[in-house]
Amino acid sequence: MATSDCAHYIELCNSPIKFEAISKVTNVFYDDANQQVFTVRSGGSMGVVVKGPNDKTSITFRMEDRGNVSSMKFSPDRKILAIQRSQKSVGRSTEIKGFVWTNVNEISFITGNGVEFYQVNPEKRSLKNLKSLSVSVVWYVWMSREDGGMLLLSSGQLANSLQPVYFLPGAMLKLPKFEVDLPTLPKQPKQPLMERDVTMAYIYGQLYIIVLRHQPRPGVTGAEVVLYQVPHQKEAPAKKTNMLRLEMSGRFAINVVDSLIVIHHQASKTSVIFDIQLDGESDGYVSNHYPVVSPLPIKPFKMYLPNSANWIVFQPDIRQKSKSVILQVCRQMLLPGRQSSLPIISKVMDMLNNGYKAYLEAEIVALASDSANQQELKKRVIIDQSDMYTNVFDEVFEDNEHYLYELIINILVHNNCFYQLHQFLQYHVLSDSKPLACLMLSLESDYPPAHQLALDMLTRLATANEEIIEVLLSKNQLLPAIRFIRKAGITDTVSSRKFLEAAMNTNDGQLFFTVFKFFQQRNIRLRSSHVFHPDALMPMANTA
Amino acid sequence: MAVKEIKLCLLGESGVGKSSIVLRFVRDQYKECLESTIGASFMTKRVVLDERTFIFQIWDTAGQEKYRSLAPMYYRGAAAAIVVYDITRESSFPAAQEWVKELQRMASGNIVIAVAGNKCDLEDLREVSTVARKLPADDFTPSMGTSYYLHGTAREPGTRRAQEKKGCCGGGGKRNSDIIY
Amino acid sequence: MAAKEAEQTEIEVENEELQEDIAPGDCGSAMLIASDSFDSLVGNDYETELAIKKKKSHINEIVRQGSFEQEDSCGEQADVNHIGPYGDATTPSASEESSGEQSDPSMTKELSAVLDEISKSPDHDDDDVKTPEWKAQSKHVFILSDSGKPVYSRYGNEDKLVTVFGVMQALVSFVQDSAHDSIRSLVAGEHRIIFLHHENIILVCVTRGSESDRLIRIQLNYLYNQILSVLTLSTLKKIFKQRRNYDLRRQLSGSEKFLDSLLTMMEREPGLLLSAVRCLPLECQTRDMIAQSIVQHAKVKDLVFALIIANSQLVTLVRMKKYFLHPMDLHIIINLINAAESFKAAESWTPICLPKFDSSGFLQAHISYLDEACQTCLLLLTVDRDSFFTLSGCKTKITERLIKYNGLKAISDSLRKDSYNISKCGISDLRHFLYKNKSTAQYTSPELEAPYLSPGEQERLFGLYHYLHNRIHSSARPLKILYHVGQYEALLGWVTQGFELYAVFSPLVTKSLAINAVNKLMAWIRKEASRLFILESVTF
Repeated sequence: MATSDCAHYIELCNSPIKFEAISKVTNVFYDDANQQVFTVRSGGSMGVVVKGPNDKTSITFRMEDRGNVSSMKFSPDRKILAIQRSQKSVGRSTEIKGFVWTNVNEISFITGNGVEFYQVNPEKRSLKNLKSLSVSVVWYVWMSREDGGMLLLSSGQLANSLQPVYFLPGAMLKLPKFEVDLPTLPKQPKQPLMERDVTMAYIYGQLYIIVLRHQPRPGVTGAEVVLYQVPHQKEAPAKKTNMLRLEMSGRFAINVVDSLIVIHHQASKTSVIFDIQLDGESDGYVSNHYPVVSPLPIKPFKMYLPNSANWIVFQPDIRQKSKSVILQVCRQMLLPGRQSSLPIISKVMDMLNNGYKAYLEAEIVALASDSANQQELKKRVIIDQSDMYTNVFDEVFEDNEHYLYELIINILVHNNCFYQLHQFLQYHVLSDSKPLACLMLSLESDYPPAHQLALDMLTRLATANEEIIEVLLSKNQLLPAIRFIRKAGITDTVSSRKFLEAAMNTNDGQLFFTVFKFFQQRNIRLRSSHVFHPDALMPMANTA
Repeated sequence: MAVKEIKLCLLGESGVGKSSIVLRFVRDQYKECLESTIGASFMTKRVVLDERTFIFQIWDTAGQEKYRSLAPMYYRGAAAAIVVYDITRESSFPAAQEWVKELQRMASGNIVIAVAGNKCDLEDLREVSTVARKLPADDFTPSMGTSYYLHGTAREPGTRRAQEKKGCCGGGGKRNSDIIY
Repeated sequence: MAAKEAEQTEIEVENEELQEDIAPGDCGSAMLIASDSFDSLVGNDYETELAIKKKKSHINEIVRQGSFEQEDSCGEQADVNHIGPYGDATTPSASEESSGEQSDPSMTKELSAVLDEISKSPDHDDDDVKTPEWKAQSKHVFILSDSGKPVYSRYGNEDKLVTVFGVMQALVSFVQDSAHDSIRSLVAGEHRIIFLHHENIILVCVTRGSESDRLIRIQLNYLYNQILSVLTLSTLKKIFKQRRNYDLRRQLSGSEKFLDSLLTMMEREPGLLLSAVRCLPLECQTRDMIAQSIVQHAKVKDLVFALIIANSQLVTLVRMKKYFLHPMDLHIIINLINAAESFKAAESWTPICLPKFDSSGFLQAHISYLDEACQTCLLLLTVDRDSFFTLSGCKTKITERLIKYNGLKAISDSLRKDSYNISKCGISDLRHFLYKNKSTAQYTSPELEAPYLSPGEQERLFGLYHYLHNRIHSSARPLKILYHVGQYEALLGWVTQGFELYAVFSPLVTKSLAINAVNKLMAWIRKEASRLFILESVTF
């Protein structure tokens, strides 16, 4: 395994949120929705520090110590703080398992018997029951969305009967139940489904319920992650669609970033990435997937952080570094000796290109419409050419050129891909530039028509007169050179000496005569005398 | 002083040297590669001899066969005719003989005929034997006019003799003419 | 060669921008017979022969006219002129040996026999001529009789080419007999073989060059007429009628140089292609004075044509009223003068046949130079063979008069290299041109100067003119105007009812510049017409 910096997919961001460790007096809570960590000291009397990954400063406040806090969450607009002190509060007999802010001023309580959906009236400091759902709940998982969220309730003896509940502003919708099949092991009772093994995520626009199975089947080593897709038609139950194979066992944490499923293995400190859009084996019902790339460790961090059993995982904004990750991946893909197969490389390239293309299209749309989307856009990760070049190709190909185009041209010519070269030029994949034209001139010995391609390019660049003349004269194409200067209107300003010299070098008397006469006429026009400036005739004097 | 005009013609096979002889005589010139005559050339030469002036009207004829039939035009009324052959070319001698016969037959009775064997300087290339050339001489009977040896002497103008030897024999030039009669 | 030089495409243009006007050089009276040289070759050769046969003999006319005027006509004279001065003497003698006569009627047999012979005998007499140098020659010309007897070969000795001649004859007769047609050309590898078959004479050109077939046939036709000029057509026919195997070289000995020099002339002298005569530029009054000198002092009975030629250009032509001179005849005359140094040595008196004027008989020519430097040649053409001294006297008087009125000086001035320069036209980019007035059959053209000074470059230039001419006169698609940009020159050809113009420009010229230049040139020619052309036809 590589030990260099580049061999990691995931690293802690440079400024992790530091917070006090859990101790006797300090408790830490994480608010998933707002991505904030609450540090409560001494029940709050000593202060609560709230930090989020994006917050520059933390919010600190005090509150009365009224007992242990089991969970603290801000409402979506951070105006109301709900604190659950005990399992049994808010005047209920049943155990309150937790609460979630489903919307601004809407809160749901999950109890052992079901879900209660309330609306909060901040001025009146009162709650109003909007709806209730009666179901026995073992545990729940909550995923918040823009205007609501998805609540997954687990019930049943083995806690594998899952009931999704969908929240919208002012509405709570029950979706069909489904069952998660549990691994069957001989001589062992079935283990119930654990909360920590279940997450929800939107992958490629579809809602999935992600279940981690530690011991899936006899004969299969390593854990598996099973994806249940919740169909858009809310009538049908979720069905198992994908299976991600991990070849490891132990504790895992699952993240979904940009529709990629990232699974972190605690023990080996590695992560693997899955993309369910890539093909996998299918048994007709379920597609099995293997990791996109081989697992690489999480970058070791300098700060020691104990891996506690309660390893709470942020949804890290992997995106910040995803670009470099992707580039690293690309680089790794192309490393000779360790390279991935060609179909995979091409798929990755296509993916990147599609992403870029989609980005460009979205950019156009965004520019045309409102600017609200632009923020979103900026977040999208794109790899563009210079990224690719500097980070990937440069290392792999060890070239000194600074321009991608030059690299391409060289590669095409040296690999005899002339048709492609012509296509690229014709469709302006390679933009016209003087250095490029000069490069093509230099390649003429390998590919003679490059000369004409270069000339054409220089002609398109309206500012390349000098170069064009040089090129033509160097090829003893005196008449085309003269016709060119005439057409370009620079007849009176060019130096006749260059032309006369080139004409002499052709050893062609007829040609020399023509060129000489041409400039003689110019002399007459400019100076009313056919006499040449002495400098102009120097080439002849030298050889005469 | 009387000026006598004398019409003279040169006859002979093509290439024997007629024009050279004339050129030497008239202009005292010699040209190495003198072109063959087309049709006939006409030149005059003024000679003063013994206080008498002669103007030779010289017809230098072309020797090619196709001009053969034109010859009468030139020897008709001529005072003298020089028939030339080339000593280095055997065939030119019989041709010369033919000319002589023709002249004897067709030309005026008073015509002086001289036969010249040209290119004597090319002795080593001689084809016409010195023996052979003597024989025909007997054929030329005095009835045609006197044949005589021209060599270095001028003839009496009054007898309408043709050639002045000095010019004709090309002294000093490359070609020497060996006049036999 | 020009075609190979072409880099850019040709543009065939409608003449909206060229200003067509009366052709410069038009005049009321013509002295030459106007024609396009290839007209006579368009038809079947046999038909052409027929046409010639039917033509009346001008010479007879003239002689008869003369004899009517003179009561004491000499019958002999008339007869002689009718047949030709050679009379019976040209009849081949009985001792003539015949060799290689083909009497076998089966042509295939002949052909294969000949071919067999070629293939199996490498050590023939042909050693000499089968050398690489001989083979490498670009353009061979062979003339042979109907029976395959060699008459002339441009390169090599005819005697050593017997089998080659045999093959050519076999090819001709094979096509003639089996297909009842006459073979015109063959292509073999990079060589083209062009045949021209006149009665009794076969002319063949084997070339690697790029001259067009048509041009070569024109050239072969000229060679044929050169032969006629030496023999007359009547004599030719008579000879072969009597003896099919006659070796014509006997009659042509000494005349090979005319054929040689004609071949050279044809490669340099555009007049043969244009069927036009080039006149020496002279002030109108000067030329008039010269012509009058002739009229006054050469008004002699039976004198048909009197002309002065200088440097292959016509100074003046004076003619009998009824008769005109054909440009081809004039070219043959010019060739005669150029090829024979002997005229410079002394006055000459020689028969000459002018094939276009009258192919049945000879005129007699008095040829002499008027000046020491032998630049100016006077020709007096008569039907009277005995008028030498008369004409000699004419010549003397004419010379005196010309000297007196500075005619000779004017001629020699005009002959100077720089007297007729393209720069005189004052048109930049124009390098050279040929302008022919169709009705007068005269053309004008400036002296060649840089960059056409070397023989190679001159040959190349004429190649360009040939190319232009051929393209414009192509029978498949005749053009009015042709503009062609080549590697070293731009060419413009323009043909109208009244004239033909071929102009050579710098390759950098543009089409509009060229057209502009041509318009200016036409205006210049129009202005100078009285000097460049003979506009007055002078008669006795």
